[in-house]
Amino acid sequence: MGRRITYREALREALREALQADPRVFLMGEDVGRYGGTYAVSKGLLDEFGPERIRDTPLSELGFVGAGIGAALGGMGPIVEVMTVNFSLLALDPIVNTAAMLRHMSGGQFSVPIVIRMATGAGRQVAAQHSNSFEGWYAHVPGLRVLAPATVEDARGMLALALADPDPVLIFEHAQLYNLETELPDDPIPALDICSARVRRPGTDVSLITHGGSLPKVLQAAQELAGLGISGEVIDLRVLRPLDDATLMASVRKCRRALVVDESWRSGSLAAELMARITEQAFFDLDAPPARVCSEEVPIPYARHMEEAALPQVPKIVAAARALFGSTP
Amino acid sequence: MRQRQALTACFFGEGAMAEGAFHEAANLAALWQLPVLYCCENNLYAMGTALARSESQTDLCVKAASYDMATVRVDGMDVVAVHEAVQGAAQQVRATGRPVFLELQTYRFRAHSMFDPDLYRDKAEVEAWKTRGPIHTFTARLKAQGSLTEEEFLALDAAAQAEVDAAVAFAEAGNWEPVADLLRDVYTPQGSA
Repeated sequence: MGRRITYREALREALREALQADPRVFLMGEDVGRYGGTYAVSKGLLDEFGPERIRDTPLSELGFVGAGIGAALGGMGPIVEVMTVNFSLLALDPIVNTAAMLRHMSGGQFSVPIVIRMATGAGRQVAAQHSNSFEGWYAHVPGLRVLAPATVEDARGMLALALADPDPVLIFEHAQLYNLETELPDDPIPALDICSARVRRPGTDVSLITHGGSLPKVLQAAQELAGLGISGEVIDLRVLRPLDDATLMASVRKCRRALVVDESWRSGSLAAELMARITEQAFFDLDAPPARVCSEEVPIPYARHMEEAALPQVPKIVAAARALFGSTP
Repeated sequence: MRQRQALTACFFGEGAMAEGAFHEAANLAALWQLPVLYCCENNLYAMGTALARSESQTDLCVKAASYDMATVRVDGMDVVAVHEAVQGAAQQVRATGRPVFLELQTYRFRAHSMFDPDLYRDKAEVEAWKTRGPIHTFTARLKAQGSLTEEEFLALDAAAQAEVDAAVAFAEAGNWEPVADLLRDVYTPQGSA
């Protein structure tokens, strides 16, 4: 038996399950309680679990992420919701200098089992300061595990695995995905991991590598490419740190062409890292230089047509993939 | 949340009171009634910047009190006063379940680090504070009240020096950490959690 469920509902189910399974688990963040979550992910959980475990915080990212780290060290299972990645910049110090480095700084005495969730990405006309995609920055930092659930299944299944991880785990939920709806089996929940990339659409001619909110666009592009006689293999990274090189290279060696699609800016980006790895590890298997589609290097504009022009879109992805084959694929 | 009787003692210098982190943490601790003992070691200089050059309000207890938090100020150079103040403040945290802010007024005799030429304060100021050095004044007090003889003091001093010498010798005789361990403490090894 299956059922229709949204990405948002899947996240809420995962939260509910975690809160029921372990009394040490609690959720805190701005407006997670009475408001029901900025993206309505935690709606209803306050009534179910009470204000101790569904804890509204002041606007204090630096303070409450730090408090979450303290709770993790004290034996609790904190899930900290930072409303969006934009505001997580106010908590870079506790995330990077404390959570990611405490195990190193303490000579292995202290692990920090915190889970930090946040929305990321653009596409909703909320202007530059609310439209960033900084998950790649966090993927730069040793000591962190960085997840980007792009499917309802991953939204449902990644949280429990993140909570079981003894080290800090960041979960990036692209704001465009919350309304994504799919059929999920009722029971059992499909077995997942938080270390591997997945092939979301098999193909033979070009590896289309992406994550998070760009996955639906890349799947759409692959569909259009198929109509043009190009078989795209869509790889969903799922885990941005550590990267699953084996799955990536197996696909690239098979297809001999690679296109990376990443909503962040191209300079110094995760896309740059992926292309470097492909070049390092699969150079002699390539029939064309690796390519990428990223956001234009501007703050993401407010006006709809300008925002659309700044972000990776299906036609750009299709064109970039076709260019890998020269004029006649 | 786990109803334990533990309290958290949080140490920082007066320089950190200009950080947003202090204010966010103080607000959360008071708002959520967390058992935190804030121990601010006020040595008057944040590296080289004097308190009055970095804070609009130099009375640190006033700043902390604005979060509806009890505050205690103590002469951090007086060993007995510090002992009593910390004991009292810790008792208050345990009894009320609320945070207490403790300002320990003290001084740094040496430069901030090996790279600090110590050009931002008067030598006379440093010398004046040295006369209040807690080891010196506490020893004098114990001797004056007959609780400590010169021989006992010298024996304690020698024992402390010997302990430090032994620790240094142990470290000097040790092996450097093998480079093979370079990546050891980045992530928790599987199965050890």
